[in-house]
Amino acid sequence: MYNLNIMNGYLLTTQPLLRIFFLEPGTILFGCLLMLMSAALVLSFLVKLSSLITSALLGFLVLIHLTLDGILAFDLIGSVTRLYEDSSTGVISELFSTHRWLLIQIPILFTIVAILLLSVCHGHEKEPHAKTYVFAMQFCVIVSFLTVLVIGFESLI
Amino acid sequence: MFHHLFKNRFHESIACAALLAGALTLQVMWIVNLLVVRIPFIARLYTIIPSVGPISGMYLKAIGTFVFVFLIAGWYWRGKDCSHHRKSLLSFFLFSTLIFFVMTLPFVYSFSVRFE
Repeated sequence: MYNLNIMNGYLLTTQPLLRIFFLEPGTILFGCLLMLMSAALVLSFLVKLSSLITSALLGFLVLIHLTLDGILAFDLIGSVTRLYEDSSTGVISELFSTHRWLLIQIPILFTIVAILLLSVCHGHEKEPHAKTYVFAMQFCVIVSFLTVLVIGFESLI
Repeated sequence: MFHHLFKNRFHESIACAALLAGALTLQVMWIVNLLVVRIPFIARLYTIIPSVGPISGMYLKAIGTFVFVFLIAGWYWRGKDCSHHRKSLLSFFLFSTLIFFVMTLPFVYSFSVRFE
């Protein structure tokens, strides 16, 4: 007999473990963020090749910023983790929870700075006076990527 | 037809303002975090959304600082030659990033010495 329950709901969500992951929008957005940031990281090193790459990177950075805003909004609404607990309790996961809330500010701030720098350098990427700003933009993208990785690893603790 | 009359300008003032605003926001963020941890009154002051805690006020403070510094610096440097600020602003930005990462480590901002 064919199980009609398979047709209901989302794909592959009949298994409980997958259902848990699919029901958490923050996790889905975090996965999307990692993919977008990986693409932005690669594009940031190719910026000097063409203005088309700069335009694509600008689009990716806007998407990254919106995704980060989404993650923050979901976490603020859910507020599942406790903040600024007494450190004397020695609960390391709570300390890292506060650390993650502080760290998430870095990619949000740095994507805005990178968008502004890239908008200014658009069409001038190869010029010597834009070198400093292109480096600053690459720094912003790299640090944002590493911060997101750190947040991911800390959430496992 | 008139494209040769218009030069595609490089708005360095915006880039400088963005770097300065980013660096100052990072400094404000770690100082506010330290104050929130150390002084209960500041923690209560920054608690705008009770379910979230002081981090809600800290985020708003960071947004406000960035927008304020960016607008003021952009207005100040508008039309001026700010090429001589380029390296120093980048250095300040890199330094601020390093300081933020160090000062937001849990065992650094919660460090205290008790005299008995």
